[in-house]
Amino acid sequence: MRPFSKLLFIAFSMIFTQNYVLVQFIAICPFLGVSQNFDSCIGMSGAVIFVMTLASAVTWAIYTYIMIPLELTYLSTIIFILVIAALVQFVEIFLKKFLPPLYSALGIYLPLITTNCAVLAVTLLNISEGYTFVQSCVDGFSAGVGFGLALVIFCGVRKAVERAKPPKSWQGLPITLMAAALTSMTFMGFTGIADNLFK
Amino acid sequence: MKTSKWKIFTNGIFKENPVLILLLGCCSVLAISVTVSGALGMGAALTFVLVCSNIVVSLLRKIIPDKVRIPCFIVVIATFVTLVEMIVHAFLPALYESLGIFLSLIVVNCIVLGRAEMFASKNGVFDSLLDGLGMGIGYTIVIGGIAVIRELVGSGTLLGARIIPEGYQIGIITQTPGGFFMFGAAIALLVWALGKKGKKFDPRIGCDGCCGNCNLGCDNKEDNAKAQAVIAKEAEAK
Amino acid sequence: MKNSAFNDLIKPIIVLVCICLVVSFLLAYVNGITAPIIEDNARIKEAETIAAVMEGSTGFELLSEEEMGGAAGIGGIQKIYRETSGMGYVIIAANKGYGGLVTVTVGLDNSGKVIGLSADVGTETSGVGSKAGLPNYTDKYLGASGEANVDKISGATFSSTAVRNGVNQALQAFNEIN
Repeated sequence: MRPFSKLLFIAFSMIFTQNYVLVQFIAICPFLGVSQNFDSCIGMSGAVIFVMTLASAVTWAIYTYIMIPLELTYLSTIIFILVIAALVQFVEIFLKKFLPPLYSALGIYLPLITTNCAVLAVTLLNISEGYTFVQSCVDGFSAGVGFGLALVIFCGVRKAVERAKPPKSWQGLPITLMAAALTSMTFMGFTGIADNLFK
Repeated sequence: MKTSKWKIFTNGIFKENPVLILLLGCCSVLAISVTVSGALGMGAALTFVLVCSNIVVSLLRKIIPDKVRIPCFIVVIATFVTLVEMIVHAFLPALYESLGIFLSLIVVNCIVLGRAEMFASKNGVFDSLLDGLGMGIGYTIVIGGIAVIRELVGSGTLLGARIIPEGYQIGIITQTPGGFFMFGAAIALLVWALGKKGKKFDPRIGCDGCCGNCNLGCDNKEDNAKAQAVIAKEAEAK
Repeated sequence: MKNSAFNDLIKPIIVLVCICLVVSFLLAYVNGITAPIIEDNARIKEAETIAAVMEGSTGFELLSEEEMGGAAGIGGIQKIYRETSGMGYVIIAANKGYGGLVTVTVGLDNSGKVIGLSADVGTETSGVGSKAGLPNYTDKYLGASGEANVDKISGATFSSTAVRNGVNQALQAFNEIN
């Protein structure tokens, strides 16, 4: 596979066929928690895309240039989570100081991201897949976009579900999860497309 | 005295079941509940991490300065997760493969950090141990229960032994939609059962549960209040 | 005033650093114990698999980068073993399936025909993708040479495609080294 089409393949599969939320069950908590209204969906997705891309780049560099030479690869979980936590703090301070408009848009979602499992997952998977630097960044970015897409789509689905009147015990969360099941079923339709598209 | 210890222990199993009532750590419940053996392995791993981190956090609660509380908790939790990862990888390679990334993701499992923050950092060592054990067992019961149904209906087997003949299983139950479906059904069942007893189902997504839309934001009350206010306003406007 | 600066700044740093140090030593110690076991497990498993895909084999030797030549550049190819008594080659290839990497171990005789195949589908969905690792699927590849054209399993497209790609990469690699 040529390098560029490999990048496209990574992007396509992270957004559709391997979508973190709807296919791989990663980051369900924010998915259920934030998808109640459209604006917070957009804010959260923006923050996640931003942090994921940055975290992918930083952890890849740390892993390749520090952890491999020092044979510390077994500490990857612990180091990555600390790097992510520090990175989130740093981004928050940086945005507050230098880019106030962006901060006011994304700021409230940033502290929520440290324990968003998608960020840790993407950094760990980049390493286990053996991606290069550019591939890792693309992977992080498109995983974030996939998360955002799932969030935005599901936000719309949820609005429709709220108007429905299910049996009493299904009201609220259970029917929401049911809607999530149907939404994820639509994403199963993408399986196979990626294969034949990027031969 | 004895009853209060018992209460701490059973709190996690029934009253504040981390998965069904507090709605924490749903990712791994949905993803791993495909096979019973995987689910029990995940339950055991999580219980181990929960108990150990609760004990250590409780021991260190007087030493750790408030400011670096969360990073310290994360380091402690990540340590035990790495320990479990190494041990499972060395001695139970099959389980290691079936848990995959979700073993590492225990680090960000809101149950563990939530209990460290909400319980262990405020209570004694023995109480924290009981709390961790109760929460862990509560988690294992739910993930195990869902796994029994998903494995039976989806693959027609139970712990690998064939129960339903080949060709009669509903494959989609083992896939992603089936996961959401079964979890929804489990909560609906709980609501129904509580309704029969005349109680109200009261899930605690939000800061009380320290997860959902606020995750770590709990230590940042101000920002969190802002986020909650925005969400509430939106809801009202609707 | 001085004291509060100590409490506010220095103490948290010291505590955090101490915890990190203790943790690192602990983990390094445990890693020292488990790492060899993990390696052994992987080696034993690989040895069993390559022996299983070539019945009657006596021993194997791993080809070096140079011996592999162009085969090393084929995506997915991990390792190539030569059977020491000259029965053929065992080629290991890994490709992305649905949940993770699907590792295929292919036994090839000297004419480049598939004589044994094992697919590790531990990362695939049990009951769905795992079908691609069962003998009644992998046996369809036996006897193939040049290019294998076995149908995918419907519903387990990702996993079975990974198996097929692995076999085809192995066949391609065989042509490169011969």
